[in-house]
Amino acid sequence: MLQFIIRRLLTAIVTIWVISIMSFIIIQLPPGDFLTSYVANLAQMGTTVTSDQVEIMRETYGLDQPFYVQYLKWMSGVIRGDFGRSLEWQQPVADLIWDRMGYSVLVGLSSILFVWSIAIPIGVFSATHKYSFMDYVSTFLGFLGLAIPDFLLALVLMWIAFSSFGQDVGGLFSPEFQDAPWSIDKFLNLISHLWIPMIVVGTAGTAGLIRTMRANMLDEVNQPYVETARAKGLSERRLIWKYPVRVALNPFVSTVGYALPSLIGGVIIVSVVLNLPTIGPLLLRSLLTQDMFLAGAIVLLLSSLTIIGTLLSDILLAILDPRIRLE
Amino acid sequence: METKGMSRRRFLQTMASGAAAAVAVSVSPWAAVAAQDMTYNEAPMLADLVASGDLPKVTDRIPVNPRVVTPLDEVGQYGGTLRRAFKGISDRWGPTKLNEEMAIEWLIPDTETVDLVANYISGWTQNDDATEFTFTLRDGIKWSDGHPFTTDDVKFWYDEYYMGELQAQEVTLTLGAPMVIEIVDNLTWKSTFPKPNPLLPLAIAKLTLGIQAGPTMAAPKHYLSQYIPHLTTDQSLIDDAMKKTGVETWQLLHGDGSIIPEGPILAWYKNPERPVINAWHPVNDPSEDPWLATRNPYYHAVDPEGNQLPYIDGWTHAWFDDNNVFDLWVAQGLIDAQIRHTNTANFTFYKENEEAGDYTVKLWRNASTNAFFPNISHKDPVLRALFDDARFREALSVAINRQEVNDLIYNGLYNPRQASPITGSPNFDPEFAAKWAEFDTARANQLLDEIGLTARGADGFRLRPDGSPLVITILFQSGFASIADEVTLVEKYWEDIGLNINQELVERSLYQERVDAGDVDIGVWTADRNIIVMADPSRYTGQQSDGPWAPLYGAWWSKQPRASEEPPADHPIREIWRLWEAAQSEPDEAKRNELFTQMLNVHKEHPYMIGTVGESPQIFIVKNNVGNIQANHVWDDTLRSPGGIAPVTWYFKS
Repeated sequence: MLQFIIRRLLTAIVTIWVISIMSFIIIQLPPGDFLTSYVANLAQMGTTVTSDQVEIMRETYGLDQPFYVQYLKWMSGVIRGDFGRSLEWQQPVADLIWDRMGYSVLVGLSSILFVWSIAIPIGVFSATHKYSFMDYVSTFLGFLGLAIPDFLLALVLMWIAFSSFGQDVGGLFSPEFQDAPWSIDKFLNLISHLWIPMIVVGTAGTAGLIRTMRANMLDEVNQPYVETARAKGLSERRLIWKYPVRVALNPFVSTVGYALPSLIGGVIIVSVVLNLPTIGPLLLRSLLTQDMFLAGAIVLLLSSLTIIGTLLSDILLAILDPRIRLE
Repeated sequence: METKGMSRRRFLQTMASGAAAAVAVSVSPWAAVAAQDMTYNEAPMLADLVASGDLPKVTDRIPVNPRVVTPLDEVGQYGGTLRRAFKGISDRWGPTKLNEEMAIEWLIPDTETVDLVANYISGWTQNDDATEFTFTLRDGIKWSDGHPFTTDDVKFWYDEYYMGELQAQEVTLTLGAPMVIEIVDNLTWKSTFPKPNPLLPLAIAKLTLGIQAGPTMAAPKHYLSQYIPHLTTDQSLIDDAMKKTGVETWQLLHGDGSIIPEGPILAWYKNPERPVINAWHPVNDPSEDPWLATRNPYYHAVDPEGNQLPYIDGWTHAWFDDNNVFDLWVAQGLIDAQIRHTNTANFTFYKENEEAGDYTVKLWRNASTNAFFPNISHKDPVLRALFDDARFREALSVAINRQEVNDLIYNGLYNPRQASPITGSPNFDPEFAAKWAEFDTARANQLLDEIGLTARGADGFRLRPDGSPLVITILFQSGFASIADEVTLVEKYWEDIGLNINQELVERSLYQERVDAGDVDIGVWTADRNIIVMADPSRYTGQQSDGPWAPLYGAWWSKQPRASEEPPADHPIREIWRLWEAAQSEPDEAKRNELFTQMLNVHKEHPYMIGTVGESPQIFIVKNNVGNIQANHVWDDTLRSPGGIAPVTWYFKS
């Protein structure tokens, strides 16, 4: 087991390194660089920039250097825990992302909890009551959730919150709590705002998980061991939850690794629409302005999360399913 | 020496009269009003600090001759926090324009006038040929930390930021040769130029001189010199700051060596500790949400009753990413006074919620006209020749049914017009505004035939003179409200006269990339900055590549960092540049105006920018309890809007 974890850790490091190179290349692929968009922005505000000035800036930021030099400079900092400096914000990247990372994890985890607490019972119910009326209803609702674009759902929910409840919309806090120190009131305020992103981010995932759970359960409920257990007189509830559900959970656990980064990076548009102080809008903005150190750091973090998540799910899986350990 | 504008100078008449306004100069006696026999009052929050001994008395904080700002409607009351919203640091313009402090500022006291007024200086004089300007600081003016603001700070700015290693100024603005500064005493300095520079006051008001992070032409020496190695005694301060902000060189604390110095120590909006003379100074970092600012107890202006300004205690800017969120905030009454980011397309929505949100929708006007820009510096010689042919452009222009565009797309809220100075501008010319703006398909067809585009292909569209299909692509981006609908309509009009037109909608930065490279047939943008055109005629000189009527030529002339090409020796664009350069250095006001009009007339003769509809409304959301804000006025970057309408006099009615 230990050897298994160590081997996985080593490949993880190599993977992260490759991803960092790839993401750095991709960020630089679009034409121009940070200065192009910066200069365009200034021109719109009535400030004209001459070529000499741009050349000076390009040198100052090292943007005139070849790609690999820029990468090596950045990477040597990252190894020492310095993620570089945002060109747009003129601040260390680390100062910008950690707060937002916290809220991203908060929204992400609450959505995962929301998704699981809804999808697993419904999936089990659908499977055990296959082709019943409620099976169709839940399947229908699930597909509806999958089909509605999440940003649209976000807009609609915001509108309902605004027009029917008069709740202030966008963000995770009311203005009066935004800068306040943590307190019970602030926490309650957070909860009152968290439900919208939780539902919006969760709905699409819920539908998928209901289907997966249902299919897995259908595979399991006809297995001989279920028959055996039933023949031995186990109560139906105990039987279902103790045996087939546990087995059917396998795919959930093996995909938990993707859940984390996709909830953080994959809901950028929703975060933008809902004005969440999370990492998504920052990533979008940094990509648009080609603020490559900020974007690079975020992509690196997200990919590290994926890899750590995958590692965790491998370990979890090994614990959950003894058969896997043999490999 | 001619004493000019010693105080307020009525710069021009705008707006309501609608007539082409004369540039009227009047010297009003307000400097005398700022007399010694005034008694001064202060905000309650400051009075408390004075009472507890934490702050000097108000008379010791403000200059002996403070600037007197007359509120629009009435003397206000102290207190309150102005709630607004912005999109983060790249959108700092909304917050910073509330706070800009130029030596000379626009003042828009009512809906009919725009003045130039002395701000942190008590006045300025200039010699007859406009090569020497004398500025005098207000006596006793102080930085927000209470340190005196003297010509030492001007010299420091000049030595370190204008001429020195941290040079960041747009020297081009001062006609290619740098300004020379001579300090006379601790309040007075002289700025001299090798050539006449009569537009200097405009340049200052428009904030193209000096550190954009403000104030112009000065920087707090006592604070900033600590971060310059050859002036400091404590190197560790610099090291700590570099470590904290993550910069690699000390210079980067101030700026990146060019354009706008926005270093984390120098830029006041990034460094709450940096002393300012602004009415409000930030108390936290703009990356925090919300961004907060509080009043500067040493602010140098009072109202006519001697109440120290500003009335409002501070502001907050909440951060939003998506405009729908901003619109909902407006409807909920969470925005106190804001014009930036409002969307004309949502006019109905704002109006519907006026009562619920307890605000009023005020309609200002943009100093711009939507326009199509045929690229006369096109890389394809055939298209270049066509676009540079006045007959072709006239055909394009008269083929457009502007009234229909206005009615169908903009609910009739815009004005059908040619791209030209807007109504109320000193350069407004009804003939120019109407030039080629009459819808006449027959005339358009006739012109195209005249050029020789008579042969048609199998698809019925006209062929190029060389016999191959003539295909023209309209390149645009979606940043302007309803622009895609307008492009589609114009595409139809042009197809009606036998031109094969494509449209290409691209992302904003790709648009910029394409026009910078001159890789565009016809671009779409707004012909803006059309109110005080002389302060920024870059639309007319072809410098602005986003309105790409001559992107390569414009870049060549203004030496910009993008693709460029020298125009032919006899090209009319050279006449435009010659006249503008002459106007720029003509000290005589009448002659200058004449030269400038001639320059505009080159455009008027055969417009390069094909305007459609303009003077569009710009929605200003103002809560009903906020006073002293104009019901309507011109919104334009040149005017530093809304800075020009004195946000220091806005107040909350109790």
